[in-house]
Amino acid sequence: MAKVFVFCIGGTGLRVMKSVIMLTASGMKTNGYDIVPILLDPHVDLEENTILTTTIGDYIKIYKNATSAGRAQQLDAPAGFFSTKITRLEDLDALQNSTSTNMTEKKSFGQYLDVGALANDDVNNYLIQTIYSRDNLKNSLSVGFKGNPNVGTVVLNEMISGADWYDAFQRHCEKGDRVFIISSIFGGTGAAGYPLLEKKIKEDKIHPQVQNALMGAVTVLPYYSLDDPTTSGSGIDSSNFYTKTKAALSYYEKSVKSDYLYYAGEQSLKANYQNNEKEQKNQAHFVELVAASALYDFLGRERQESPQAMTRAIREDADPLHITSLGDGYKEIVKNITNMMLFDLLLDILPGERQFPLKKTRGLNKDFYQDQKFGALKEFVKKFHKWYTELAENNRGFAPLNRVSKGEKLTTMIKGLTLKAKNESYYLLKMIEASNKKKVQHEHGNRFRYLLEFAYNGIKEYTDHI
Amino acid sequence: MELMDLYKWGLPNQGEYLNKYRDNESLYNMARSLWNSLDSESFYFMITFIAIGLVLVCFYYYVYNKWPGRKYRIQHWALWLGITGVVTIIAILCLGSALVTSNLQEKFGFILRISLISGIYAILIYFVASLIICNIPVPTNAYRFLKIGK
Repeated sequence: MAKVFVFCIGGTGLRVMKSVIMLTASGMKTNGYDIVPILLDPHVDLEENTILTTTIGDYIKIYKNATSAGRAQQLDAPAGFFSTKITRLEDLDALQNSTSTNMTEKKSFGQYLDVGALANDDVNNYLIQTIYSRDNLKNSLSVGFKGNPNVGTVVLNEMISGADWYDAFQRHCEKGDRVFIISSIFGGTGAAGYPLLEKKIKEDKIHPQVQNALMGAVTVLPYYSLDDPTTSGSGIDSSNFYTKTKAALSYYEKSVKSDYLYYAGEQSLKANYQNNEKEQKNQAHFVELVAASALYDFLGRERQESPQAMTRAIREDADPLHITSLGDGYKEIVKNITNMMLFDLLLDILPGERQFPLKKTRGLNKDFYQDQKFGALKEFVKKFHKWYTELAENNRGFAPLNRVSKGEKLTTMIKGLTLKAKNESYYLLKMIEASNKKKVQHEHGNRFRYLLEFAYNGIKEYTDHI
Repeated sequence: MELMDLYKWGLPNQGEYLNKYRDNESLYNMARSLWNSLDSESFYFMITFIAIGLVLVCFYYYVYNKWPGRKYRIQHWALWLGITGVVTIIAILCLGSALVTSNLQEKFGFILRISLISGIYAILIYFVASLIICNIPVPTNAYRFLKIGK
């Protein structure tokens, strides 16, 4: 199976990757490509980093549970939920270290450059003082580059050059595989990392399969502001975001050569976050979702003669966004998110359905619902629910769905659209019917897979028309 | 075994019943005629309760369970069990009244008893048919709570 190596650079890269994981879990199609996420963020203590790593691990476990049928027998990928294989680079190659290993040093940038070893009248010392401020040199690298691409460029370059993980990428990138880079343009890590990594890949003459891999990238333009740094004491000033973006764009215009370069952004800095570079507890945002959708678009496209610049619009400038204001291009996303939210509802209901027919016919009994596999799935889907809630509550909000819970009317679940299913019993019935169909093909005995497939088939009966 | 044997356990003894009219020949003949009539029509009663039991059990498993609303729950099965009994009683009451001609007062009582007994038989048929359906590999959306084993 062909792979797409998805490099996620910096905090925004991680957050976009979270959207990729969530959308992939909901059934977004990758055109047959397996996803290999590669997280590049020097800020290893960042909670978002830990959460994303855990979420990827949870996804992989769920996928494995859905595709194993005992005695080393492997099943095809399920249709619908969790239909794409995600593999960590470290699982492809057991020898390499974590992508962030080289960056975890608790050094300041000045220590990293060994500025102290330079004599005061050394010309290199003058050069460094010209390019970098004192704050730049004092910054600890373990919390990232604090929006300074001039710092990021130096550190990341060395980080990529000597890293085991990059060697592993070179070894495992095969003919037909693709590369996708996710970064922001207004910060430090992403803005510096994207052109650097792209150059490294495009100039890799020793590995033609790497050099010739179809490459896509999404660069996220400013979409949030941060509290005033004079009151928060942070080293990041969001009023510089646009200036930095303009500077980076003028550089990208001449230097980047990705086959497809997607731009995702907002008209203004609508969302405002706490200015705390150590925590960066930012809520999921619509722009990250748009950036994530670029990956699926890229995977459906063929090589062009010249680099293509792409972007994505919405139909109406509304806040929050609904299915009509989003426009037809977002229907697939809305449909998949609806499916997953309905799945979440069913996962709440099913353990209490003591007389559900699949209990007898497919073994979806008390033991199954108490099993760790089901627990892990439920936990993941709860994370998905939380992610959607964050999207809906952020500015600008992505809120095509009404809140629904057990026993509530489901016809108006999607704002501005009517679903035929009045309540959850409609979906439960379709699950049973899905189980009754294609019986022979489903005789693998994997109860977890039965749940995933029948729930998806049942739900899509009512949401396919979206 | 005569068909009337199906209902004997819920009806008075034939001999004792006819003996009540031994002093009045006309009434005795009417009573005997009523009994014979019930006996001869009991075939239709039997066909009716079997048909109702089977039709409603099939309706429950293969039609009613195609409707949303958690129809697979046992309470719905029980509801149709009850409906089977009631429909059978009403159907046999109507059928008995139409087929059995007698001016004796006991006619309605006998037909009512036969209807109630038929209702019980229809319920038994519904139950036995459910047991079979739950254990054969024919798809149904209902919960196979009568399935034996795993």
